[in-house]
Amino acid sequence: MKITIEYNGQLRHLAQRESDVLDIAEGTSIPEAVAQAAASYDESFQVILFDSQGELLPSALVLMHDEPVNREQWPTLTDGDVLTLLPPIAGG
Amino acid sequence: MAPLNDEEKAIYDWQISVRDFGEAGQERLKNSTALISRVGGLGGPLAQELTAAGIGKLILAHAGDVKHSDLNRQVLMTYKGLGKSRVDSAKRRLLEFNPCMEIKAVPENINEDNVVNLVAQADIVFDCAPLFEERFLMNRECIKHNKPLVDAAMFSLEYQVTSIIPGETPCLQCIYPEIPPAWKRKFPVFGAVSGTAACIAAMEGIKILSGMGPSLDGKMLYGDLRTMSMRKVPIQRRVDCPICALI
Repeated sequence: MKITIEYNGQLRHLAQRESDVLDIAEGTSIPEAVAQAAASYDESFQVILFDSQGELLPSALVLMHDEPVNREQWPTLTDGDVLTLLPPIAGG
Repeated sequence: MAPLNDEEKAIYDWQISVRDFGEAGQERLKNSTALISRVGGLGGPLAQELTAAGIGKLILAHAGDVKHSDLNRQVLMTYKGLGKSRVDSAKRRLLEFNPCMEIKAVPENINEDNVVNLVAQADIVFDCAPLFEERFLMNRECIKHNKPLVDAAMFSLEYQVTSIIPGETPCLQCIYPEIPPAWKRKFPVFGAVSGTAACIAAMEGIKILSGMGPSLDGKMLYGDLRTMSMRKVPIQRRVDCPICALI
């Protein structure tokens, strides 16, 4: 199935694009899908999203269809879903 | 509360007619003090808008001198001011605009030693610092002392603004529990983007101070000037937030 992952902030800057469409297997979790997208980019992109243990950082906000996702119970991905990644920004 | 004089009524006549604001809102603004952390690309135009709107007192905290690389966005700084104190430049420009207001210029960035004293002097805090360490200090003190905090930030052509009302909304550490490890001090920026975020943050602060009420409590306004789009993203309190969970 296909999902879209939108990038913002530093992620968009590093990816040089606004989004990717991913082909993922049924049952892929949101952190796994984000990791699959991040694997296409270099380490500077990945460290914005994941810690050294490969856990999705809490400071990387994840929205599904514009609503924050429940990280205690990640929602199941279905075909056509749109994830938005909002990394922390502090430009002043 | 000091009432408006005839000159102030004349200056602010056009905004006093705004619904839900009126003379009462203008008086509240006149009798308010705002702390602005850094008066660069974001804090500079924010200070300018609050000055124009008639706030009574500003406390401006920003260390360092004006550099060439500031001038693409820091609209309170001038070419003539290169090498001179940023915060003094800001104070001078703002007083040219409104000589009746009070401005305290603090040539320091927010740090552990000054944050308690500076936040204590303010009715509201505007967080425009480029480092999360400073933002977290202001968040902590505002929550502790029940002061509203308007948090604004930008990166490239994107910006975000939210209002933190202690006890009512998520705080900054609900959104970012830890210092984000990958944030870098130098970021791509256009002055028009930081200025846009500044105007939104200023309006949010004016609404809070005047009694009109915030619009971004519990929501983060996220704007993208590349696509000219805006969205309000709901943000959530963390039950285990080390800063605001006990309030």
